[in-house]
Amino acid sequence: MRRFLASLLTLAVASVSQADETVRVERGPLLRTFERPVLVTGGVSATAQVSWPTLSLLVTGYDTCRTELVEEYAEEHIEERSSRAGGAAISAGVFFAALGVGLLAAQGLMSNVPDTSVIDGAGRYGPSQRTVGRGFAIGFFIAAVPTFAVGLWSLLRSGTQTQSVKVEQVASQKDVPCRERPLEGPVVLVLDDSTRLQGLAREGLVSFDASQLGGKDIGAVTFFERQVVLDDEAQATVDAFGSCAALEQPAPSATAQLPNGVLIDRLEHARSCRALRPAQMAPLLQELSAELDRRPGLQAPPEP
Amino acid sequence: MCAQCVGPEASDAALCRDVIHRLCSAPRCDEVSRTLMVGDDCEQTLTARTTCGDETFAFTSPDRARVLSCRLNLLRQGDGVEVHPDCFDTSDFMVTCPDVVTLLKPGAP
Repeated sequence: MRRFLASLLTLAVASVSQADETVRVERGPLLRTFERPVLVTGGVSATAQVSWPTLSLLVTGYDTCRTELVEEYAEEHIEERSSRAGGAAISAGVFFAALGVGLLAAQGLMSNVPDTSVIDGAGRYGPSQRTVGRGFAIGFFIAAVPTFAVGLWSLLRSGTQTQSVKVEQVASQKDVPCRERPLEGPVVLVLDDSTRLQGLAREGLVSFDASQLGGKDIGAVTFFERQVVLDDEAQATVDAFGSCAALEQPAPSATAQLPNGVLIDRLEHARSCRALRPAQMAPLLQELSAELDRRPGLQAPPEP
Repeated sequence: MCAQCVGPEASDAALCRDVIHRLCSAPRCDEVSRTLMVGDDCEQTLTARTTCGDETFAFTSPDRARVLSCRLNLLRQGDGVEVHPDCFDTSDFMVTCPDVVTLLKPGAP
Protein backbone atom coordinates (compact mmCIF):
# COMPACT_ATOMS: atom_id res chain seq x y z
CA MET A 1 0.00 0.00 0.00
CA ARG A 2 2.84 2.38 0.91
CA ARG A 3 4.61 1.66 -2.41
CA PHE A 4 1.43 2.37 -4.32
CA LEU A 5 0.93 5.69 -2.55
CA ALA A 6 4.58 6.61 -3.16
CA SER A 7 4.27 5.80 -6.88
CA LEU A 8 1.08 7.82 -7.14
CA LEU A 9 2.74 10.77 -5.46
CA THR A 10 5.78 10.55 -7.75
CA LEU A 11 3.55 10.47 -10.82
CA ALA A 12 1.56 13.46 -9.62
CA VAL A 13 4.71 15.47 -8.89
CA ALA A 14 6.26 14.59 -12.26
CA SER A 15 3.18 15.60 -14.22
CA VAL A 16 2.76 18.87 -12.35
CA SER A 17 6.41 19.86 -12.60
CA GLN A 18 6.49 19.68 -16.42
CA ALA A 19 6.80 23.09 -17.93
CA ASP A 20 5.94 24.13 -21.47
CA GLU A 21 9.07 25.52 -23.14
CA THR A 22 9.19 27.44 -26.41
CA VAL A 23 12.37 28.78 -27.98
CA ARG A 24 12.02 31.53 -30.57
CA VAL A 25 14.86 32.91 -32.70
CA GLU A 26 14.62 36.49 -34.01
CA ARG A 27 17.22 37.84 -36.43
CA GLY A 28 18.37 41.37 -35.80
CA PRO A 29 20.19 43.94 -37.93
CA LEU A 30 23.33 43.39 -40.02
CA LEU A 31 26.27 44.32 -37.79
CA ARG A 32 29.14 44.19 -40.26
CA THR A 33 30.46 42.63 -43.47
CA PHE A 34 34.01 41.39 -43.84
CA GLU A 35 36.19 39.18 -45.98
CA ARG A 36 37.71 36.03 -44.55
CA PRO A 37 40.52 34.18 -46.30
CA VAL A 38 40.42 30.38 -46.13
CA LEU A 39 42.92 27.87 -47.45
CA VAL A 40 41.24 24.83 -49.03
CA THR A 41 42.64 21.66 -50.58
CA GLY A 42 43.69 22.22 -54.20
CA GLY A 43 45.01 19.69 -56.67
CA VAL A 44 47.59 18.89 -59.31
CA SER A 45 47.77 20.44 -62.77
CA ALA A 46 50.16 20.16 -65.69
CA THR A 47 51.19 21.95 -68.86
CA ALA A 48 52.35 19.99 -71.89
CA GLN A 49 55.02 20.58 -74.56
CA VAL A 50 56.05 18.39 -77.45
CA SER A 51 59.43 18.31 -79.09
CA TRP A 52 58.88 15.31 -81.33
CA PRO A 53 59.13 12.46 -80.42
CA THR A 54 59.14 13.60 -76.75
CA LEU A 55 56.16 14.76 -74.64
CA SER A 56 57.22 16.89 -71.65
CA LEU A 57 54.85 17.59 -68.77
CA LEU A 58 55.41 20.25 -66.10
CA VAL A 59 53.47 18.97 -63.07
CA THR A 60 52.44 21.62 -60.55
CA GLY A 61 50.73 21.28 -57.18
CA TYR A 62 48.37 24.07 -56.01
CA ASP A 63 46.12 25.01 -53.13
CA THR A 64 42.82 26.82 -53.41
CA CYS A 65 42.74 30.24 -51.83
CA ARG A 66 39.13 31.00 -50.96
CA THR A 67 37.88 34.44 -50.01
CA GLU A 68 34.56 34.37 -48.16
CA LEU A 69 32.32 37.40 -47.92
CA VAL A 70 30.85 37.07 -44.41
CA GLU A 71 27.82 38.91 -43.05
CA GLU A 72 27.47 39.15 -39.26
CA TYR A 73 24.01 39.51 -37.74
CA ALA A 74 22.67 39.94 -34.23
CA GLU A 75 20.27 37.15 -33.21
CA GLU A 76 18.01 36.86 -30.14
CA HIS A 77 17.16 33.46 -28.67
CA ILE A 78 14.00 33.91 -26.60
CA GLU A 79 13.07 31.08 -24.24
CA GLU A 80 9.55 31.21 -22.81
CA ARG A 81 8.60 28.88 -19.98
CA SER A 82 5.12 28.44 -18.62
CA SER A 83 3.52 25.92 -16.33
CA ARG A 84 -0.13 25.19 -16.93
CA ALA A 85 -0.43 22.94 -13.88
CA GLY A 86 1.40 25.15 -11.37
CA GLY A 87 -1.63 27.09 -10.26
CA ALA A 88 -3.77 23.97 -10.08
CA ALA A 89 -1.13 22.25 -7.98
CA ILE A 90 -1.04 25.12 -5.49
CA SER A 91 -4.83 25.04 -5.25
CA ALA A 92 -4.80 21.28 -4.76
CA GLY A 93 -2.16 21.60 -2.05
CA VAL A 94 -4.18 24.21 -0.20
CA PHE A 95 -7.33 22.10 -0.58
CA PHE A 96 -5.68 18.95 0.82
CA ALA A 97 -4.25 20.91 3.72
CA ALA A 98 -7.67 22.40 4.46
CA LEU A 99 -9.21 18.93 4.44
CA GLY A 100 -6.58 17.73 6.88
CA VAL A 101 -7.09 20.70 9.20
CA GLY A 102 -10.85 20.27 8.97
CA LEU A 103 -10.66 16.62 9.93
CA LEU A 104 -8.39 17.34 12.87
CA ALA A 105 -10.70 20.12 14.05
CA ALA A 106 -13.76 17.87 13.79
CA GLN A 107 -12.21 15.09 15.88
CA GLY A 108 -14.27 16.09 18.89
CA LEU A 109 -17.42 15.34 16.91
CA MET A 110 -16.29 11.84 16.04
CA SER A 111 -16.85 8.74 18.17
CA ASN A 112 -13.84 7.28 19.95
CA VAL A 113 -15.52 3.88 20.39
CA PRO A 114 -13.61 1.13 18.60
CA ASP A 115 -15.33 -0.79 15.83
CA THR A 116 -16.25 -4.03 17.55
CA SER A 117 -17.75 -5.60 14.42
CA VAL A 118 -14.18 -6.58 13.47
CA ILE A 119 -11.40 -8.37 15.38
CA ASP A 120 -8.35 -8.70 13.12
CA GLY A 121 -5.75 -11.45 13.04
CA ALA A 122 -3.69 -9.74 15.74
CA GLY A 123 -6.65 -9.68 18.07
CA ARG A 124 -7.41 -5.94 17.70
CA TYR A 125 -10.76 -4.25 17.18
CA GLY A 126 -11.35 -2.03 14.15
CA PRO A 127 -10.39 1.65 14.45
CA SER A 128 -12.76 4.22 15.91
CA GLN A 129 -14.14 7.07 13.77
CA ARG A 130 -11.72 9.42 15.47
CA THR A 131 -8.74 7.19 14.62
CA VAL A 132 -9.84 6.96 10.97
CA GLY A 133 -10.30 10.71 10.77
CA ARG A 134 -6.83 11.31 12.23
CA GLY A 135 -5.34 8.85 9.70
CA PHE A 136 -6.97 10.61 6.75
CA ALA A 137 -5.90 14.00 8.07
CA ILE A 138 -2.25 12.85 8.14
CA GLY A 139 -2.63 11.45 4.62
CA PHE A 140 -4.01 14.75 3.33
CA PHE A 141 -1.12 16.66 4.90
CA ILE A 142 1.35 14.22 3.29
CA ALA A 143 -0.27 14.89 -0.10
CA ALA A 144 -0.64 18.65 0.45
CA VAL A 145 2.95 19.61 1.23
CA PRO A 146 4.74 18.31 -1.89
CA THR A 147 1.84 19.25 -4.17
CA PHE A 148 1.92 22.82 -2.93
CA ALA A 149 5.72 22.94 -3.06
CA VAL A 150 5.92 21.66 -6.62
CA GLY A 151 3.18 24.02 -7.78
CA LEU A 152 5.04 26.95 -6.24
CA TRP A 153 8.31 25.85 -7.81
CA SER A 154 6.67 25.53 -11.26
CA LEU A 155 5.25 29.02 -11.04
CA LEU A 156 8.60 30.45 -9.94
CA ARG A 157 10.32 28.84 -12.95
CA SER A 158 7.91 30.37 -15.42
CA GLY A 159 9.02 33.39 -17.38
CA THR A 160 11.03 34.59 -20.34
CA GLN A 161 14.78 34.49 -20.89
CA THR A 162 16.48 36.27 -23.78
CA GLN A 163 19.98 35.59 -25.02
CA SER A 164 21.67 37.73 -27.69
CA VAL A 165 24.24 36.09 -29.95
CA LYS A 166 26.16 36.99 -33.09
CA VAL A 167 25.77 34.73 -36.09
CA GLU A 168 27.70 34.65 -39.34
CA GLN A 169 26.45 33.91 -42.80
CA VAL A 170 28.66 33.39 -45.85
CA ALA A 171 27.09 35.53 -48.54
CA SER A 172 29.51 34.57 -51.33
CA GLN A 173 32.96 33.09 -51.91
CA LYS A 174 35.65 33.23 -54.56
CA ASP A 175 38.20 30.47 -55.20
CA VAL A 176 41.54 30.97 -56.97
CA PRO A 177 44.49 28.56 -57.26
CA CYS A 178 47.44 29.68 -55.19
CA ARG A 179 50.71 28.50 -53.66
CA GLU A 180 51.71 26.75 -56.88
CA ARG A 181 54.86 24.67 -56.70
CA PRO A 182 56.54 22.06 -58.89
CA LEU A 183 56.09 18.49 -57.68
CA GLU A 184 58.36 15.51 -57.44
CA GLY A 185 57.11 11.94 -57.71
CA PRO A 186 55.55 9.30 -59.96
CA VAL A 187 53.51 10.50 -62.95
CA VAL A 188 51.52 7.88 -64.82
CA LEU A 189 50.06 8.05 -68.32
CA VAL A 190 47.00 5.78 -68.37
CA LEU A 191 46.44 4.65 -71.96
CA ASP A 192 43.06 3.83 -73.46
CA ASP A 193 43.61 0.07 -72.96
CA SER A 194 44.43 0.72 -69.23
CA THR A 195 48.17 0.21 -69.79
CA ARG A 196 50.11 2.43 -67.38
CA LEU A 197 53.34 4.22 -68.36
CA GLN A 198 55.20 5.54 -65.33
CA GLY A 199 57.67 8.35 -65.25
CA LEU A 200 59.29 10.30 -62.41
CA ALA A 201 58.84 14.05 -62.11
CA ARG A 202 61.86 15.99 -60.87
CA GLU A 203 61.31 19.66 -60.12
CA GLY A 204 57.95 19.11 -61.86
CA LEU A 205 59.37 17.89 -65.17
CA VAL A 206 58.71 14.43 -66.66
CA SER A 207 59.08 13.20 -70.25
CA PHE A 208 57.67 10.35 -72.30
CA ASP A 209 58.75 9.05 -75.74
CA ALA A 210 56.21 8.41 -78.50
CA SER A 211 57.47 4.85 -78.92
CA GLN A 212 56.29 4.00 -75.38
CA LEU A 213 52.65 4.51 -76.32
CA GLY A 214 52.57 1.59 -78.81
CA GLY A 215 50.00 3.35 -80.94
CA LYS A 216 47.44 3.79 -78.14
CA ASP A 217 45.76 7.04 -77.11
CA ILE A 218 46.40 8.72 -73.74
CA GLY A 219 43.31 8.48 -71.47
CA ALA A 220 44.43 10.24 -68.30
CA VAL A 221 47.43 11.56 -66.39
CA THR A 222 47.82 10.82 -62.68
CA PHE A 223 50.22 11.86 -59.92
CA PHE A 224 50.29 9.62 -56.83
CA GLU A 225 46.97 8.22 -58.13
CA ARG A 226 45.39 11.70 -58.12
CA GLN A 227 43.97 12.97 -61.40
CA VAL A 228 46.16 15.68 -62.96
CA VAL A 229 44.08 18.56 -64.28
CA LEU A 230 44.96 19.57 -67.85
CA ASP A 231 43.62 22.83 -69.24
CA ASP A 232 42.23 22.87 -72.81
CA GLU A 233 45.59 23.70 -74.40
CA ALA A 234 47.48 21.00 -72.47
CA GLN A 235 44.76 18.43 -73.22
CA ALA A 236 44.89 19.26 -76.94
CA THR A 237 48.71 18.88 -76.92
CA VAL A 238 48.52 15.50 -75.15
CA ASP A 239 45.77 14.29 -77.55
CA ALA A 240 47.81 15.42 -80.56
CA PHE A 241 50.90 13.65 -79.22
CA GLY A 242 48.90 10.46 -78.87
CA SER A 243 47.58 10.80 -82.44
CA CYS A 244 51.10 11.34 -83.83
CA ALA A 245 52.33 8.31 -81.89
CA ALA A 246 49.47 6.21 -83.28
CA LEU A 247 50.37 7.19 -86.83
CA GLU A 248 53.97 6.09 -86.23
CA GLN A 249 52.62 2.53 -86.15
CA PRO A 250 52.65 1.00 -89.67
CA ALA A 251 49.22 0.90 -91.31
CA PRO A 252 47.73 -2.61 -91.54
CA SER A 253 47.63 -2.33 -95.32
CA ALA A 254 47.96 0.14 -98.18
CA THR A 255 45.62 3.11 -97.99
CA ALA A 256 43.41 1.80 -100.81
CA GLN A 257 42.90 -1.51 -98.91
CA LEU A 258 42.12 0.02 -95.55
CA PRO A 259 38.66 -0.73 -94.15
CA ASN A 260 36.39 2.35 -93.89
CA GLY A 261 36.62 2.57 -90.10
CA VAL A 262 40.40 2.40 -90.06
CA LEU A 263 40.60 4.93 -92.88
CA ILE A 264 38.48 7.45 -90.97
CA ASP A 265 40.41 6.75 -87.78
CA ARG A 266 43.72 7.51 -89.48
CA LEU A 267 42.26 10.66 -91.00
CA GLU A 268 41.18 11.92 -87.56
CA HIS A 269 44.58 11.10 -86.08
CA ALA A 270 46.31 12.94 -88.93
CA ARG A 271 44.13 16.01 -88.38
CA SER A 272 44.99 15.98 -84.63
CA CYS A 273 48.74 15.43 -85.24
CA ARG A 274 48.81 18.27 -87.76
CA ALA A 275 48.93 20.75 -84.80
CA LEU A 276 52.36 19.34 -83.83
CA ARG A 277 53.79 18.08 -87.16
CA PRO A 278 52.11 20.07 -89.95
CA ALA A 279 54.73 19.36 -92.60
CA GLN A 280 54.68 15.60 -92.02
CA MET A 281 50.89 15.35 -91.90
CA ALA A 282 50.09 17.39 -95.06
CA PRO A 283 50.86 14.61 -97.61
CA LEU A 284 49.20 11.92 -95.46
CA LEU A 285 46.05 14.01 -95.09
CA GLN A 286 45.92 14.56 -98.83
CA GLU A 287 46.29 10.82 -99.49
CA LEU A 288 43.64 9.82 -96.97
CA SER A 289 41.15 12.52 -98.09
CA ALA A 290 41.58 11.48 -101.74
CA GLU A 291 40.92 7.84 -100.85
CA LEU A 292 37.85 8.87 -98.87
CA ASP A 293 36.50 10.82 -101.84
CA ARG A 294 36.96 7.75 -104.05
CA ARG A 295 34.74 5.60 -101.85
CA PRO A 296 31.04 6.00 -102.60
CA GLY A 297 28.73 6.82 -99.70
CA LEU A 298 31.62 7.59 -97.32
CA GLN A 299 32.01 11.11 -95.99
CA ALA A 300 34.88 12.61 -94.03
CA PRO A 301 33.89 13.63 -90.46
CA PRO A 302 33.72 17.43 -90.02
CA GLU A 303 36.85 19.20 -88.78
CA PRO A 304 36.69 20.04 -84.99
CA MET B 1 -4.93 6.24 3.64
CA CYS B 2 -6.05 4.59 6.82
CA ALA B 3 -4.50 1.18 6.15
CA GLN B 4 -2.57 1.38 9.39
CA CYS B 5 -5.54 2.59 11.48
CA VAL B 6 -6.32 0.02 14.15
CA GLY B 7 -8.31 -0.06 17.37
CA PRO B 8 -7.36 -1.34 20.84
CA GLU B 9 -6.68 -4.97 21.65
CA ALA B 10 -9.73 -7.15 22.24
CA SER B 11 -9.74 -8.81 25.66
CA ASP B 12 -9.01 -12.53 26.05
CA ALA B 13 -12.66 -13.06 26.89
CA ALA B 14 -13.82 -11.25 23.69
CA LEU B 15 -11.32 -13.23 21.66
CA CYS B 16 -12.49 -16.52 23.17
CA ARG B 17 -16.15 -15.63 22.53
CA ASP B 18 -15.28 -14.69 18.95
CA VAL B 19 -13.72 -18.11 18.32
CA ILE B 20 -16.77 -19.82 19.84
CA HIS B 21 -19.17 -17.67 17.78
CA ARG B 22 -17.38 -18.47 14.53
CA LEU B 23 -17.38 -22.21 15.26
CA CYS B 24 -21.02 -22.27 16.35
CA SER B 25 -22.64 -19.87 13.86
CA ALA B 26 -25.13 -21.43 11.47
CA PRO B 27 -24.77 -23.48 9.42
CA ARG B 28 -22.66 -25.32 11.98
CA CYS B 29 -20.05 -27.67 10.54
CA ASP B 30 -20.55 -31.39 11.36
CA GLU B 31 -17.02 -31.71 12.64
CA VAL B 32 -17.70 -29.03 15.24
CA SER B 33 -20.81 -30.83 16.48
CA ARG B 34 -19.03 -34.18 16.51
CA THR B 35 -15.71 -33.20 18.01
CA LEU B 36 -16.96 -30.71 20.57
CA MET B 37 -20.17 -32.67 21.28
CA VAL B 38 -22.53 -29.70 20.97
CA GLY B 39 -25.97 -29.19 19.61
CA ASP B 40 -28.07 -26.15 18.81
CA ASP B 41 -27.03 -24.53 22.11
CA CYS B 42 -23.41 -24.69 20.92
CA GLU B 43 -22.49 -21.14 21.78
CA GLN B 44 -23.93 -21.18 25.30
CA THR B 45 -22.40 -24.59 26.02
CA LEU B 46 -18.91 -23.65 24.91
CA THR B 47 -19.05 -20.29 26.67
CA ALA B 48 -19.97 -22.06 29.90
CA ARG B 49 -17.24 -24.70 29.43
CA THR B 50 -14.52 -22.12 28.88
CA THR B 51 -15.87 -19.52 31.35
CA CYS B 52 -15.03 -16.81 28.82
CA GLY B 53 -18.37 -15.15 29.49
CA ASP B 54 -16.53 -13.57 32.42
CA GLU B 55 -14.64 -10.46 31.31
CA THR B 56 -11.81 -11.32 33.71
CA PHE B 57 -11.08 -14.52 31.75
CA ALA B 58 -7.48 -14.85 30.61
CA PHE B 59 -5.70 -17.42 28.43
CA THR B 60 -3.09 -19.48 30.26
CA SER B 61 -2.40 -22.68 28.35
CA PRO B 62 -2.74 -22.32 25.46
CA ASP B 63 -1.73 -18.66 25.72
CA ARG B 64 -3.16 -15.68 23.82
CA ALA B 65 -0.54 -15.80 21.09
CA ARG B 66 -1.31 -19.48 20.42
CA VAL B 67 -5.05 -18.84 20.28
CA LEU B 68 -4.53 -15.89 17.89
CA SER B 69 -2.36 -18.03 15.66
CA CYS B 70 -4.95 -20.83 15.53
CA ARG B 71 -7.78 -18.31 15.03
CA LEU B 72 -6.22 -17.21 11.74
CA ASN B 73 -7.62 -20.40 10.16
CA LEU B 74 -11.11 -19.12 10.96
CA LEU B 75 -10.46 -15.65 9.44
CA ARG B 76 -9.84 -16.75 5.88
CA GLN B 77 -13.31 -15.64 4.79
CA GLY B 78 -12.95 -12.29 6.59
CA ASP B 79 -12.31 -10.77 10.00
CA GLY B 80 -15.83 -9.43 10.50
CA VAL B 81 -17.32 -10.98 13.64
CA GLU B 82 -20.41 -12.27 11.76
CA VAL B 83 -18.42 -13.92 8.94
CA HIS B 84 -18.94 -17.70 8.91
CA PRO B 85 -15.75 -19.70 8.26
CA ASP B 86 -15.65 -22.40 5.63
CA CYS B 87 -15.98 -25.95 7.04
CA PHE B 88 -12.64 -26.74 5.37
CA ASP B 89 -11.08 -23.91 7.41
CA THR B 90 -12.87 -25.14 10.52
CA SER B 91 -11.42 -28.61 9.95
CA ASP B 92 -7.96 -27.04 9.57
CA PHE B 93 -8.44 -25.32 12.90
CA MET B 94 -9.46 -28.60 14.58
CA VAL B 95 -6.53 -30.56 13.15
CA THR B 96 -3.73 -28.01 13.59
CA CYS B 97 -4.74 -26.75 17.03
CA PRO B 98 -5.65 -29.72 19.26
CA ASP B 99 -4.60 -27.79 22.37
CA VAL B 100 -7.15 -25.04 21.68
CA VAL B 101 -9.80 -27.64 20.80
CA THR B 102 -9.15 -29.35 24.15
CA LEU B 103 -10.09 -26.04 25.82
CA LEU B 104 -13.49 -26.23 24.17
CA LYS B 105 -14.18 -29.92 24.85
CA PRO B 106 -16.16 -31.22 27.80
CA GLY B 107 -14.05 -31.80 30.92
CA ALA B 108 -11.51 -29.09 30.02
CA PRO B 109 -9.57 -27.72 33.00
